[in-house]
Amino acid sequence: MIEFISASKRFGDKLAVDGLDLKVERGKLTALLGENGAGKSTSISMALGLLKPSDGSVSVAGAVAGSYHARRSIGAMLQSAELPEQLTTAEHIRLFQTYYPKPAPFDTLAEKLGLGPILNQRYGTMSGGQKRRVQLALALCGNADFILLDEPTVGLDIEARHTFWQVIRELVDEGRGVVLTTHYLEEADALANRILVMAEGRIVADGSPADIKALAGGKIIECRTNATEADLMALAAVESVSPVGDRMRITSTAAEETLKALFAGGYSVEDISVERAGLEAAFLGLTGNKNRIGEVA
Amino acid sequence: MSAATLGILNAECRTEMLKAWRMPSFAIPTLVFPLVFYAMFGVVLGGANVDRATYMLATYGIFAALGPSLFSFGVAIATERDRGWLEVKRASPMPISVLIAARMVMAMVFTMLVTLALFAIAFFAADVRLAPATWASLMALNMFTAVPFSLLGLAIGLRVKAQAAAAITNLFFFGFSLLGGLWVPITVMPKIMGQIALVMPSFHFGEMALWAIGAKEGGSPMLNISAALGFSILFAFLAARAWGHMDKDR
Repeated sequence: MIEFISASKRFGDKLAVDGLDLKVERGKLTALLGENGAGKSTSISMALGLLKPSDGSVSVAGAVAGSYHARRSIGAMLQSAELPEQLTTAEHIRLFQTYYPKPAPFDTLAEKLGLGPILNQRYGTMSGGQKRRVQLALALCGNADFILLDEPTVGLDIEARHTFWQVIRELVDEGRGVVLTTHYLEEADALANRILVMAEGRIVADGSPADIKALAGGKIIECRTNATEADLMALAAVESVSPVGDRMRITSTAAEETLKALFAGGYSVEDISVERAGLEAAFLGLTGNKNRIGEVA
Repeated sequence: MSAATLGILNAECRTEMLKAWRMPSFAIPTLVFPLVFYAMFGVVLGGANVDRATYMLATYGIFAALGPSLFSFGVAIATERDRGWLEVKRASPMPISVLIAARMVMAMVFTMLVTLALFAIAFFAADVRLAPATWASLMALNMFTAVPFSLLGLAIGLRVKAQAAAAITNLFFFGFSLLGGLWVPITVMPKIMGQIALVMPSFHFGEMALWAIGAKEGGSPMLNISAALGFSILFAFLAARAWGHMDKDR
């Protein structure tokens, strides 16, 4: 398990990560979703021991993050790491394998990532997509229990992205704990068991892909009504329902359908507001939003 | 050191050699400069005078040690740090000290190769003949010299960005060589140069090489040995400081 306990990281006056509590289990993929500067990479760096938390703690497999035991349990793909250009794919992988006690078999790894054609090619002469594949290979070559991927698919074309997704799914199926950071809800949705949305160093939403997608992609209807939660859940396109004061908050993937069904049901309905969720509108910036989303999640 | 760590060290050493060999911007200046300069100033321009060729063999050997150590650490470490590669290494289970050790071995091996080539030029083109022990002590001195200058390079490479590191490293490389009397003997330069040379670490290593071939008369090598040792300790201190600076968040 990778465990963040109230972990914070401060750079000067700025809190890059603010009291992060998170447990990453094996066999699960946890996605950190957010914009640049949200604190995703800083969190990854703390798990790798590259940054020490200013407050709280981070541990990996029971050991302090950054200790030898912790590093041995993690394979990582960092966001902006370029490998030395003079070495070939095979040379890079074989060197990195020596770092781990039980490395992944070379041939299996090469086949899984489709490295065959570039095994003897020098890193400096590769295309962007090929470089990403070699970087992923280094994250996986140690056969580690936990894999941290910091925006692994940035700059990849669709086909390559789907290949990456396939490999990442297999990692989870093999029982590894995977943490992935991304800007894309679509990517988090395709891969994750759990999505944490980060903004300004804090978790602003935490839930299953369905929860998060409903919040981000759908609309939020609020009204006063005599319908019960169960009544509302039964309406068309409703994802979730929660009471807020004397009002009900309904998240819907198709607000028009939901409203039509609500009126057709003969309930009393007053004081309606409909709001577009959307990733930014739903999660970022406004403090009021943070509280609201926290309740839903 | 455990067997696993030794295995990593072995793999890293081979990798560092391979990388250096495949990087002309590193290999050419470090290999070619000392050989061409020595052939030119030590042998050809001196009319293959044995005394001159012998004298310069000593100082150009120290010059040969400066290149691989300063560049492999100063420029290459700064570059790999800028590119985020050092972070990947630090996040991996490899002990980062092994990386430093591997680079130092690489710098020493490069120094050894260039020194051998210098010996060959001296032996065949200028008829330099030395006692076996003298050849051996020159070789040992050159290889040992790579250590403190690697540490200075490390201090630079960990502190500044790659471009600045290249400029600073070149400044040290050429400054140490010229002002330390490795290219042209200090004794034929204006007097002020002799005083400047005293604060150049390269000068003291050069003098040690001159003691080794018996080109010094009177006095004692102790001043040079102590100064070389002092500078080595200073460079180790600077490298450790830079290291702590990089690692302060860990």
